[in-house]
Amino acid sequence: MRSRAHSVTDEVVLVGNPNAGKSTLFNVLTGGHAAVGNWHGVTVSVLSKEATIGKTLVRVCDLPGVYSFDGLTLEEQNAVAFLRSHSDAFVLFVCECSALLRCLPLIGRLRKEGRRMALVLTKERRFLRAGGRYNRVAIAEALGVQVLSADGGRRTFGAELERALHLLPQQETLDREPVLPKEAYDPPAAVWTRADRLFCHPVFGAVFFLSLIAAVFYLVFAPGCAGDLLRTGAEALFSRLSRLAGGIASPVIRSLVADGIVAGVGGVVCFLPQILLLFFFLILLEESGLMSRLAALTDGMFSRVGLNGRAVFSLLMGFGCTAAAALTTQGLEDEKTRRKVLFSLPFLPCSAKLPVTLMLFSSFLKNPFPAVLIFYFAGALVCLFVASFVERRPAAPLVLELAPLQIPHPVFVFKSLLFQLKQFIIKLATVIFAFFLASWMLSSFDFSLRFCAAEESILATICGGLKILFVPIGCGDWRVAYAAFSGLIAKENIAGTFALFCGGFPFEAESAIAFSVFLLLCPPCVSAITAIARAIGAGRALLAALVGMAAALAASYSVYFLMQGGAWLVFPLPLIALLAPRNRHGRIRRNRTHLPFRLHRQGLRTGVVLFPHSAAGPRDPRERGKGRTGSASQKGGRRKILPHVCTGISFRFPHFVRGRQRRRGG
Amino acid sequence: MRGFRFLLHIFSLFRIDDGMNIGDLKRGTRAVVTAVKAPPLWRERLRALGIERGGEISLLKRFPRGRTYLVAAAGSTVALGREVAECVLVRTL
Repeated sequence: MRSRAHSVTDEVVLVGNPNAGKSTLFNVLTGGHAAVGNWHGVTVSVLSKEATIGKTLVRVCDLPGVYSFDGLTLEEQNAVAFLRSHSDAFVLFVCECSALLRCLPLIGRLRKEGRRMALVLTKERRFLRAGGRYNRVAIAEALGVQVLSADGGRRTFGAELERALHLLPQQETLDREPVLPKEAYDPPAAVWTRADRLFCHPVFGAVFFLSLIAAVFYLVFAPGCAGDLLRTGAEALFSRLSRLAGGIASPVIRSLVADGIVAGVGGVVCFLPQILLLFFFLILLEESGLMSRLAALTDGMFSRVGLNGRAVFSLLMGFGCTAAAALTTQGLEDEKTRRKVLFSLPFLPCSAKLPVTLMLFSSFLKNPFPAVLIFYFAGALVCLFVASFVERRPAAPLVLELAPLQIPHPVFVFKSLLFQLKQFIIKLATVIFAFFLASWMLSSFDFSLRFCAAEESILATICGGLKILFVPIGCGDWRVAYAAFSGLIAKENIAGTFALFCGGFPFEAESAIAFSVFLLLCPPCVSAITAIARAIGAGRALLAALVGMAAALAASYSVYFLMQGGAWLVFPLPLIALLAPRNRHGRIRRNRTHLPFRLHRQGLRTGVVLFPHSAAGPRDPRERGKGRTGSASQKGGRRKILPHVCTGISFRFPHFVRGRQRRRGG
Repeated sequence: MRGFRFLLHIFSLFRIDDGMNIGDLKRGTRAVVTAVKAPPLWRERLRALGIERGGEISLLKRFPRGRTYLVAAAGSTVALGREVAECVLVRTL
């Protein structure tokens, strides 16, 4: 679509449900590379780019998906605000063929507001294959909008869209609710395929996904496997480059190229193949539609820590990049769920920590794969532990549309991977390169700008004071302090810094393990802190970072202390706690015959009656015997029967729910 | 007092129900939604997914412990948490 126009004459806004195909259409119209995925919530902010439709130059805007114009999530609020501020824009409502019925209220609302619009139907072939039938002309007549097909090819679509832009300058408003007759649109019956049954089976699904994750970790980390072989190849290449740089005559330039650029930057680039393999797995999981099934499967587990299954996408993204994962939390409806996920995300080992963990464990282990696996498992446990303590009230329940199962399109997967590679190269060429250049300069010159050894340099003087923080873990060296704090810029810098100054981790195994505990708990990089701050506020994000740093140091000191023979001091403590005298009333609460606790353990929900909080019975068991009968029919008011169960449910839906008999079925 | 409370629980088993909800359906059963007793925002979200009064749904799967339900509605499959599923009252077809 080549243009002869010189100025933007119109604006086209892509609106529709999540996962309808808006971003795909955006890429087709503009030639852009907006992120696409088979998950609801890939586009989190408005994307805008110019495009030529026939002879018309337009600005195409891709909005995040909306289910409703009432704005439950941040994405929906962004989309609605954009639509309101661009009231003259042409709305291209993108709708999946199978979801047309539930999009009618949105279409009706736009027509009621008198918006210029056209309807684009996507995924038509899938709809027809499933047994559905539709008539585009009849739909257009019933809804009063022009209906375009996205399956006709780029040129056909472009011509139809240009005609729609020019032939429909202003449409009359529609006062009635749009209705589709059966002759115009006949959807197929819902199909529950065998694949759905397998992936959603609690046993098969759990085994399948755990095996998938284990296989990916094995491919990426295990010696002799794809990830390890690619990394070894990259390391060999950079070693050769370093040997070539040794032939440079000038000592300053030789040190810059060999020690600064090749050793520092190369130390990070060597891990690029493994990082890309991890992202490849995440993209496949998302594109195939398995991510939404995983969300439904894990909802029960996440509910125990106060989250819901929707958080699984953000948490899995956290294994790739914490900053990107923080942005995806905009798709979570509930503010409490968002805060829980944001506070717990930094503890998930991201791909940037991968080079550091491999370097640490390789320093004392021949095969670091099991240790790395334990590191990732420990990170996931800490993440869930933190999530269970942040925001004690439970998250909103799960409401999620399952994306259709499909074989990932190779072009989309390749484009997504290319996008991640581009992001990494940009980060490498800017932040990481600038950091290592600055590191080399500060570590190669003293205050009188004389070329000197690292121990006499400016950096050694500045970091000399910080090394005291790492003395308790046997790493009292200014280079370790500098490496640890360089991780705040980008976690990859830690590995590169050790490679630059020491050629690896130079301390003993106990120090390496203690440093890995520090790495697990320390705050994320500045990009992730910024993304988190945008969501929860700068003050909270900084406070969380400071607390995280203190906790990381304290935990690393404790681990080192235990490994250095301090265990004999700590192990008797649980025994002392068991033998210590306990509160008599605490014992009553733990009495296993206490009726509410017995019912709660058996999971009975019969007779769960909610009462206003003001009529709540006393929580302290010592007060229960004082003039209270415990009866719900007590004069003057009603009392709670099971206070702890009622509190949880009544918080979510603060109105009365009558007791009902739970009948088992299905 | 403990005995009296236990009797009250037994009596509550016979309390009049509001009606069946999604959690009471058998797998594969088709039903019509009679009411959605949830806060307005959740009602709107359910309506956007095709679960609204008068709409036809079908229970596809109940996960262990009744924690999550998979429901077919308006041509798509929707995963609902237990609390939301219990707020959707239905009548079998």
